[in-house]
Amino acid sequence: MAEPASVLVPRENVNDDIVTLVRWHAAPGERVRAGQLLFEIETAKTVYTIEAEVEGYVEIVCPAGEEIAVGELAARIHDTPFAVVVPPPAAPAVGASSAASGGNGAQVITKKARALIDEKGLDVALFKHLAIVRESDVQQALEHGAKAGVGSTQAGHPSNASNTVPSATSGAAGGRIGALKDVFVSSRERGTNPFTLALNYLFRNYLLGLLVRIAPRGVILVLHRMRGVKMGSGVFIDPTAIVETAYPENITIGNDVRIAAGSVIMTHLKAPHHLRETGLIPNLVKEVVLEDSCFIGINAVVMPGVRVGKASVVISGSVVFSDVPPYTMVQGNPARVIKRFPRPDRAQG
Amino acid sequence: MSPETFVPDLDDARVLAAHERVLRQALTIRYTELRLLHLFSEGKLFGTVHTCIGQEFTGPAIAAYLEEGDTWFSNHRCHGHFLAYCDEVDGLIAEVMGRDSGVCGGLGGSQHLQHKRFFSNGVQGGIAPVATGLGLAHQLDKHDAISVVCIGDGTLGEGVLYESLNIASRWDLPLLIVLEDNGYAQSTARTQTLAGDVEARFQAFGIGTSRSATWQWDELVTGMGASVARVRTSGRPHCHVVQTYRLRAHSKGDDDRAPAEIAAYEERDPLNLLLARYADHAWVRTTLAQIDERLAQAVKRADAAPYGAMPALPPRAAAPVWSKVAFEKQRVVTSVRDALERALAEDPRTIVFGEDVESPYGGAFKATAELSARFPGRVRNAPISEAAIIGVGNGLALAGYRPYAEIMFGDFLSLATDQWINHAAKFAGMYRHQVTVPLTVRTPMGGHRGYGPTHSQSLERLFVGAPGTRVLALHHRMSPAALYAALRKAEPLPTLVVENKLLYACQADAAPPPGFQLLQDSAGFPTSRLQPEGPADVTLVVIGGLSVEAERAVLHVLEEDELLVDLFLPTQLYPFDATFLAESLMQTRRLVVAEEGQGFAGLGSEILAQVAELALPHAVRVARVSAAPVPIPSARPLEAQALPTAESIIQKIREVTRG
Repeated sequence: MAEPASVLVPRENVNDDIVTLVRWHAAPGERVRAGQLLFEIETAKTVYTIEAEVEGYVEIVCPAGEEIAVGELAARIHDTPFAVVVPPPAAPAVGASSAASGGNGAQVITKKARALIDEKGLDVALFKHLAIVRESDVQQALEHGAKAGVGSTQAGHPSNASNTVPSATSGAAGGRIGALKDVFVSSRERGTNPFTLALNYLFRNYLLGLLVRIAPRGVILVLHRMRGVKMGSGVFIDPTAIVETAYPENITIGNDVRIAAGSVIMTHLKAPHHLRETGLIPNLVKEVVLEDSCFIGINAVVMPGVRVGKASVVISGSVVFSDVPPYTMVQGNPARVIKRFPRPDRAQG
Repeated sequence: MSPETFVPDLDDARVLAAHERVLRQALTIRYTELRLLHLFSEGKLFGTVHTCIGQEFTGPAIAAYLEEGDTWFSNHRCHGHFLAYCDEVDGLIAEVMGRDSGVCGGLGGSQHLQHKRFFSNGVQGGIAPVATGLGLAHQLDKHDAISVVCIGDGTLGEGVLYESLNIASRWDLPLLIVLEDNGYAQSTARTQTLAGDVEARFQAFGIGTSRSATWQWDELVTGMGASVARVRTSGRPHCHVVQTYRLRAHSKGDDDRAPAEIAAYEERDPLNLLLARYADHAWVRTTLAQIDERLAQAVKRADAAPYGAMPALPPRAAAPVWSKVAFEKQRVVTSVRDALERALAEDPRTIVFGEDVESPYGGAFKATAELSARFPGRVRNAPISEAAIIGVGNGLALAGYRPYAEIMFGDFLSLATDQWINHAAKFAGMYRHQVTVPLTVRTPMGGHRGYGPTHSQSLERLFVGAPGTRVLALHHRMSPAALYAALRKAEPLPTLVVENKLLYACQADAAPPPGFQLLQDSAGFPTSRLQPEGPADVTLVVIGGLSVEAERAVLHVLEEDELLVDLFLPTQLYPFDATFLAESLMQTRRLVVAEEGQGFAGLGSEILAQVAELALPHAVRVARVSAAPVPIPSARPLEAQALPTAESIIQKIREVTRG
């Protein structure tokens, strides 16, 4: 078996160093004769045809539609069909059509971030909400309890004694709702008899919930605390906000948090019978943590199991399904990070 | 010396009737010029005046045969031609006095007059190709209008005249060149500076010549009639030499000619002789009285008129509105070519010309491939005459055409700077926006091709900053077709589009790389912005085709250094307003500007100066990337060291983020 003949892209004029291989006239592995049309290249001037110089079996190196430099290898011609390497069918190229895609779906992971992910054996899917993953993002995930091979971590109980909410205690780094498996049931619900349950519901969930809507501003926070919401100082909650209807004690709010009009903070989800019974969506009750100084915009929705990080902003109308890292701004449904604030606790740059 | 001066017999009513019009114009010109000299000594004029006293008969001789559509381009000594063309004594006096009621609102002044189809400009020679372009417009219009250009013997020293003669003759253009030979170029005698024969210069281009003299002005008038008719019927250029003598200084206080020589001509002067002989003739007395009265009134009205308004300054740019952008991915050179094809197909007034643009060659970079076959006559090969190419474009544009001139290499644009700076840029402004110059000049710049010192430069910095013009640059994040489409809809300004040799083969592409979004602002010629999905560390501004290397640098520092770069690619280089950078700089506080040309007094310096003037609340750390201050070497490895690349941009990005 002789060495294959190389078919190189010829220089056709002085101006083009890179040409486009526009069309193949031979299939991979096809037998061609010398002088037979092989492929066409497009230069700035015109389209040139390239012919085979020797007889043999074609191995395509540069597929049609690709750009190729002058002098580069476009094909090999073998004297036996068995030497031809036939490439597997290519997946459809990403971003082949030049629309205003805004880079959606595509992600960059920097060299350092990739190294740290590999070192800690983390699941890349942890970062799928980020368009650019830097080393600091990986470190942040590690601080939040990300572990090797696990996409999400167990939720722990925040300390009831403290008014401030420490960042590192609990994770609840959830994925989408459908992916949640661990159903956390409120401690108060466990082991209560039907009577206290009914009374509890009537007083705490119905009566106080009703009063919140008409109470003067100063009283609203007192009512929420009576309902069981754990909350720091300097908090503002708009009367039209719904701060959980059934399990208020599963909500922890830090200092200086603002919850704007129409927002809904939910810690439970009751699925329709069919979905629940078929296991498609489980009933769930998961705590929600709003860390210090975060801001929940008008008509935003925070779903069960979410932790909104310190000094983060949820833009009006967003629906938050997964954790919001500290010092970020999220927007959309599902909410995605659109901005990171400089962190005062870290040196710039 | 030549034969006797012609003095008509005014007592013969038929003779008087035959010459009355020309005589009245000549006397009006004489006394207007004398009045202007008087106003100058009274301190009522700005600058100076170049009077044509002694040369008055040329203008009336030409005007006697002009028709409605004819165009006339004159020079610095234009008052006589202007008055013969339109008799606007008021408009001229007010203009020279700088008043709002002047024909150009006092913006043009003595040397820069425009009224209807009459134009003048104060640069020797430069008017020749512009008049040639007007001749081409007449030819394309298929009317029998002609283009007249008045030059002097001094103009014979300007090379661009011969480029124009060559084109006018080869393209059979109806151009009448009237050469007023008064024997002096300012203070230098023609005999001292002119070699060879005057007429032979024209005959060498196959252009016929005629000759007459001021002193036999009856023959001058009939001879000029024959010359005009010849150009009009043949559609070919012709030169008419008028032997004459200027009785006063070139301008003011710069006359070193022998007083005896001047006195001899004073004695022979046709108007002096006529006025001496017919001092008491009724027609002469009434005519002079009428002229006196007109001038007195004109000066009085001009004196009372206000100075014109200062031209409006361009408004500051509004805060940009960024939005996502979509366009079809296309090879840059194909996109340019398609844009030209669309312009030619949709607008019959589009003319594409330059060196080697016709098929089958289709331009050195194939931007005009196959266009001449589809639009014969509207896509033309020009001789190697860059100044005349732009000049002809200026003339076409003044006549309402939409010329696209191609300069094969941006380096050669230096040959056409006078046409760009003193003609294209000035016409609209100095003629009080009574004309527009929708001229587009396309030229490729840039190196990395091994073409060496004179075919690789990026000279855009030499062509920005001429008020009245626009400079645009292609890059790979803007569709060239969209740019040229916007240009057709934009305000009709002379526009230089800087293309780029390497860029031609690249794809103009709207799909951003992962981690970025591609935005454009809402300006007519938008700035493209490749914005990272996260808070940026560095703001980077890149000029023209260097965009490709810059984007490589941006992706590299993200991958290697975790630096997020906010990349701005301005399309409009002049006028330029850096306000759009404020928002990004508030975030990054670091700025790198990159251009392929020289950095000294370059685009980067301007951008940094404007950023400094933004007075942001904090300091911005800056760095510039530009070519090394050496002639660009031909050897590729050396060229790569001399010119900016992704590597040099990466280095500067790291520099501003360090420490």
